[in-house]
Amino acid sequence: MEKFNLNRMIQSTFLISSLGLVSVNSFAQQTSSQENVPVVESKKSLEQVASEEKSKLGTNSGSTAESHKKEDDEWQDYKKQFEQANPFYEIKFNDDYSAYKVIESKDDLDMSEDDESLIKVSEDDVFYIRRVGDWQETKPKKRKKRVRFVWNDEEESYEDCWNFGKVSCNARDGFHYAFSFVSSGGDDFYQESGEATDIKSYASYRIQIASFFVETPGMATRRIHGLYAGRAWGFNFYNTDQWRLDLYKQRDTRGIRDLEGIQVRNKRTRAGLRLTGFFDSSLLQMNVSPYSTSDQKDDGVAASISYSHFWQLRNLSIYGSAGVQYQPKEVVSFYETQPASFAEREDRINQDVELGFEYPISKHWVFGGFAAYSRTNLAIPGVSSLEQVNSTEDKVDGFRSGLLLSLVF
Amino acid sequence: MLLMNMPSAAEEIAKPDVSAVTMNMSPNQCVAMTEGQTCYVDVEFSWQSSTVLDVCLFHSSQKTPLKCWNQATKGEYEYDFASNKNVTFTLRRIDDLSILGQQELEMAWVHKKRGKPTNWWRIF
Repeated sequence: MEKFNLNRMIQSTFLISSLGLVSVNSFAQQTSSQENVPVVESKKSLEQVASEEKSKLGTNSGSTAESHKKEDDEWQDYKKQFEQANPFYEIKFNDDYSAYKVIESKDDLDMSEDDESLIKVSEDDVFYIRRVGDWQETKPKKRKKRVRFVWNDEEESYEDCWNFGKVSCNARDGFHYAFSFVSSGGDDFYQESGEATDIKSYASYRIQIASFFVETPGMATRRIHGLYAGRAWGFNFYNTDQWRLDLYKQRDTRGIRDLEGIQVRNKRTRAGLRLTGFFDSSLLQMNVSPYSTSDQKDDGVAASISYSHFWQLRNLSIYGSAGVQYQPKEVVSFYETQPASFAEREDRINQDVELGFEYPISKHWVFGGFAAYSRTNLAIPGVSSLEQVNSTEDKVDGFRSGLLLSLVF
Repeated sequence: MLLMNMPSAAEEIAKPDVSAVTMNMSPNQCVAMTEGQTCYVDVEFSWQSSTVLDVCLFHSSQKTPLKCWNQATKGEYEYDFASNKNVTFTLRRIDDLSILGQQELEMAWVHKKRGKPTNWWRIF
């Protein structure tokens, strides 16, 4: 059971209004002296009631179908008693959530600031919100879920899944989209000159419907993509509040366009498993790819890990990213002026760091900038373009920086 | 003393006298990068009246006034602050605290937190 206090309620204003709810449910106890005026019950007494009833039920738990039925009946009785003792009232808050009124009929939905039935909210009040339909779950094994009074800022609401229903609900369904104008310059492994300056415009996105996604990472989607995410499609098959697990298949071997010059590419597209962790101010992405579309006998296993951390300086967001990628000798390299024999190939380790900033001009326009450094083993003999860059005996490195203006949805 | 008696928003029944006073605020929105982040904004207020007034400017989350004017027909005020929720600024008469003007500053963000996507229904 979730509760929220006044502060949390006010913070949730957008959610309530965005869901289009005409009312929410308040867990309130009715007093004899004030008919229809809810008095909010304290957390302590409520938890005591729930705890006592739960412990009573727990003593009768069993594993057979009969015992489940018995538990279910007991649960129904408990539910009735619980609701009678602690009735729910539908209430509606005023615009600034400083007061509310009990909704007994549709006529009560009309509210004005001088409405006499408005009850002032105090900071000590605690409200309990439940989802419609929670009581409908009747399977004994799901008993714990029946009392799922949910108001949790961290949890997605049903409305986030409105188009596919509760059964196929995936809280990660939706989209990230940014169209960016980018000016960048610096080293380029793949140019004969070893460097390039570009002004480009392109879209970066992740679109997910019914758990299937297609994505093109870019500098403007650093908040959801790690350093080694490429163009891919796949299936998002597991989620928690913080973690997302995807099966993916690359659509091509290109990396983020403005870093393409200093990002090493595979010889063929690959598929694998990718774990992404979203935290309050950081992002962790790990990736294992054991499959390649190449017709080589062994596909090898590529792997990478990248971490990004975000800092806030007034409304400016600054991020720093670092990552390491392992590429087996089976996948290197994209540009070979002369195909190297397999025996001459070597595994490759790529290391990358990136610093950047984002500043919100408005809700949809973001100005940003980045500087990135990459270093890799020069593992392929006969790669002439790589040798144009600051190569030492067995390593090559590159640097790129740029500015971007993005339209974000 | 004046402030101790200030009515809450729920009790407020006085109607703003919009015909006599004009109140402006700029900007009307503060944008942070990520949902829930504190947004920093420098807000400029101005008001103008055809009659001489004793008024105070109030911030919705504090009881003390930001600025008061005595026997004035206009006023300006600049306020640099941070918040993560919407804030209402109210211009009230000093004598009876009736509302003369009100402006809401919306706290907005570009991205939802923890990599959550934009919902499909936002397209429509």
